[in-house]
Amino acid sequence: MNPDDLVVTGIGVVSPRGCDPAALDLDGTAPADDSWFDATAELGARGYKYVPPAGRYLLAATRRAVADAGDPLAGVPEGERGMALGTNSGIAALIDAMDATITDAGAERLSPATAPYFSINTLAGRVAMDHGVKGWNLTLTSPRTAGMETLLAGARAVAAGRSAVLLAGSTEAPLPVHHPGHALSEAGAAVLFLEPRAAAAARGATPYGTCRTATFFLTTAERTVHEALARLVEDAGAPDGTTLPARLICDPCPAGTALAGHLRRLGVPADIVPPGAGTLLPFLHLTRGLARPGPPHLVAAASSDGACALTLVQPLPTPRPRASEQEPR
Amino acid sequence: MNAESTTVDLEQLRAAIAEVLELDPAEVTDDAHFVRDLGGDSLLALEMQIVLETQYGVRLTEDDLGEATSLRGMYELVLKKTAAG
Amino acid sequence: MTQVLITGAGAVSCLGAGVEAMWQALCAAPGSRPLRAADPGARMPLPLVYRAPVGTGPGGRASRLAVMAAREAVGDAGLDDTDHARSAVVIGTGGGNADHWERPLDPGRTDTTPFPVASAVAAALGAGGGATCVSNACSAGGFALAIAVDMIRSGEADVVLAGGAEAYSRVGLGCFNRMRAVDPHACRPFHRDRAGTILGEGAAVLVLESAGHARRRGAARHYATLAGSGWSCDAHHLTAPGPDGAQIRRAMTAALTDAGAPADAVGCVVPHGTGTRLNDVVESEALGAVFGERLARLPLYSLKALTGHTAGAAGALGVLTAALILDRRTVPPNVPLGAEQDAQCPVSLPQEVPVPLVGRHAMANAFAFGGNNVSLVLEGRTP
Repeated sequence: MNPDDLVVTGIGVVSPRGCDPAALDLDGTAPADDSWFDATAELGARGYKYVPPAGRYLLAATRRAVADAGDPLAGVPEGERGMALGTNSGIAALIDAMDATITDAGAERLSPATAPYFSINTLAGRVAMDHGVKGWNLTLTSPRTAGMETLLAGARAVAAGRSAVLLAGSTEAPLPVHHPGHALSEAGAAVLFLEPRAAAAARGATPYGTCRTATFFLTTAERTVHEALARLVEDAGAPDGTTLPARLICDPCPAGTALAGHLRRLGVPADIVPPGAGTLLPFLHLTRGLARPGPPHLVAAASSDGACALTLVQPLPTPRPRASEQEPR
Repeated sequence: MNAESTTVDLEQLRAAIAEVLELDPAEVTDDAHFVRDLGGDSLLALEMQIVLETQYGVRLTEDDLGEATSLRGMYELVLKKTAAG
Repeated sequence: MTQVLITGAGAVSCLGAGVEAMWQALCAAPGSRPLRAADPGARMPLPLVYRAPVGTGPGGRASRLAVMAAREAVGDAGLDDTDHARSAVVIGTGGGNADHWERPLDPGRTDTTPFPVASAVAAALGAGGGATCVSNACSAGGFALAIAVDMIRSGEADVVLAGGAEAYSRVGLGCFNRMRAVDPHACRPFHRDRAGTILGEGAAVLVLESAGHARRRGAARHYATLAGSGWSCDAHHLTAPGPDGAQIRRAMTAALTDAGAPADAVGCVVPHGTGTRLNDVVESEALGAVFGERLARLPLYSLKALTGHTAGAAGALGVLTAALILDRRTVPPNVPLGAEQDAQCPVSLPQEVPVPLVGRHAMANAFAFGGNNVSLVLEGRTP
C-alpha cells in the first residue's frame, strides 16, 4: 500500500434517503421537495439566507464530513486544502426562476445578493469561504458522472502537489417543476474528506477505505474501456474465481448497455440501477459502499450522451476501528 | 411634510435592515457602519435598496446608498425621500 | 516530466471563426463594440453582448461552439481516428447550453443538465477517453487546459482535446446587470472609466499531446509547450477578488514553478483583465508583485478588449493567444487606450504597432467568481 494513496477519513451526507452513510436507502425515488432538510439544525439560524438549497446541502454535508474526519483542517494550511464538486442540477431551479423574473418583471427585480449563484461554481465557492479552501476549487458538471469524476480529478491534483488534502462531493437540487425530468430530480449532498494514508496514520485517524475512478466515453472506445476496466479489476485484487460485485447506474441507453456488456465480458456482472437526474445517486452508492465494511466492489455510471465513470470502492474488510493502536475517534 | 412620512418608523427600518444583513435588530445600532461593522458589501447594499424601495415606496439611487452607511443615515435618507413624496 | 505540446488549435469568437481569422483581427486591433442581444426576453438596462458566429446543428449553442473549435483543432493537428480512440476531452463552460434552459422552453426537451458540452465534443470527434465538463465560471477554460496537462503528465492520456466554450445566457447577463457589473460602452480593461465587463460568446479548443506521442505519429508542428499551471482559490467572497491579491499571486508563482521558468523568462502576459473596476487593479498589483519593476515594460496583451469577456472560454482563448504570440514571436498591438489608461493599473499595453516578443515564455491568467484562479505558463519552441 502506497503511503501517498488517498484514503477516505470523513463522510458527510444530507439526503432525503438518510444522513447515516451506512444506512442510506438508495432504492426507489426520494422526495423532491425541501421538507427533509433542517437548515437551522445543520447550519445554524443565520448566515445562509441567500444560499440556494444545493449550496446549503453542500455546506451541511461538508461540515459533517470534516467533523466525521475528526476536524483535521486545523492541521492543514489553507493553501493545502483542495475541493472538487460534481453537480448537474444544483442551480437549475434557481436559473429557471431568475429567467422567469427577467423575462417578466425584468432583471432589476432579481435579488442582488442571490445573483452570484447564477454561476454554478459559487456553490463550492461558498464552502471554500467557510472552510478556508485556498489550494484550489473545481466544479465539474459532466452529466451524471461528475460526482465520481471529483475523485479522479481530486486525486490527480493532490498527486500533482496542488494540495495535501481533498474534499470531494456531489450536490443536487430538484429540477424546475415544469421540467419533463422533474420526477427524476435528486436532492441532497454527499462529501468525502480524503488525505494521504500516511497523514491519516500520523494523526491516528481510521480510514473508511479508498476509492479510485476511471472515465471513458462510449460507444466509441473499445480499447480504452477495456484497459481502464481491466486495470481497476486487477487492482481490486479479487482472488481468481471470485466475482467483483458491481452496481451500474444508467438508463437503458446505448452507452449503459455497452458498459454492462464490457463488464460482463470481464467477469463482472453488474446490478443495473435506474438513475436520477444528476450526479448524486452514483456518489451516494459509493459513499454507502465505503461506510459498510466488506469486499471491494465497483460503482459504475453511464450517461445517455456516452460519458462513463467507474469507481473501485475498497472499504475496510471489517468494521472500524480495527486496530488497537487507533485512538478513539 | 405629508402623511406618509410618519410611516417611517426607526425600529421598523432597523428590523428590515437586520433582515437583509441576517443580524439581530439589536446588532444594527444607530451608528454601526453597514460595511465596516456589520459585514455588508456592495451586493447587500443593492439588496437593501430593493427591499427599502419596496417597503417605503421610494426611489433610492446607488449614490444615496453610498452615503447612507448606517441606520441613522438611512433613516434620514428614507425620511427625506418619503417627505419629498 | 512529460512535455505537453499544443499541436492543434481551433477558435471562434466575435472576431470570427478560425484561428487565422482571430490572429488577423488581433493584429488589426479594431476597436470593437458590443451589440444589443437579439433577445426580446432580455429585460435589463444593458443587454449587451459580443456575439460569435455559431453554426447550426444539433445540440445547444455552447456545444456547437465547442464542436466547431474542436473540429478545427483536430484538423489542424492532423490527428486520425486511431489517435482519437484514446483521446480524452476536457471542456470548460460556465453556463453550458443556456439556450435549452431559458425561455421559450421546449416541453419536449430531454436533457437533464445544460452541461453536455464535453460529451458533445467527444461524440462528434469519436474521442474515447473521458469527457469532463469543468464549470469554474470565468476560469473554466483555463482549468480545463491545466487539468489536461496533468492528465498527460500522469500518463492517463497521450492526447487531450481541451478548452472552453461559452454561449449567450440571458440569466447570466441579467445577473451581471443586477450586480452592476456591465460597462455601458464596451469591454475596456485597464481603462480609467471602465465600469464593469461585457460578456462575449466564444470557444477555443487546443490539441494537447505528449511530446512522445507527437513524435511517434510525426506531428507536423506545434505552437508551444503548455509548460505548467498554478491553481488557487480566494475563499474570500463570491464575486469580489481578495483585495490583497495573495491567491492570484500564488497561482502565478506556482505556474512559473510548475513550468520551471523564472519570472524573467516571461515575455508577454495575457491577463484576465475584464474591465471590472477592482479586478483590474488587483491583477495589476499582483503582476507587480510577481514581475517587480519589470512590470512597466513587460508587454501585456489585453484580449478581452477585442472579444469581450468570454467567461468559460476566456482562459482557453487567452492560452491560445499566448501560444500564437510565442509561435509568431510577436505581440499584437493592443486596442488603443492612450492617456485613458488607469493610473492604478500601471501595466504595459503596447499599442499602434506589433512588438517583437522577447523571452521564451508567456503567461495567461483566468480568474473567476468563487475566487477560482488559474495561471498557465507556455514555452515557445527552441529557436
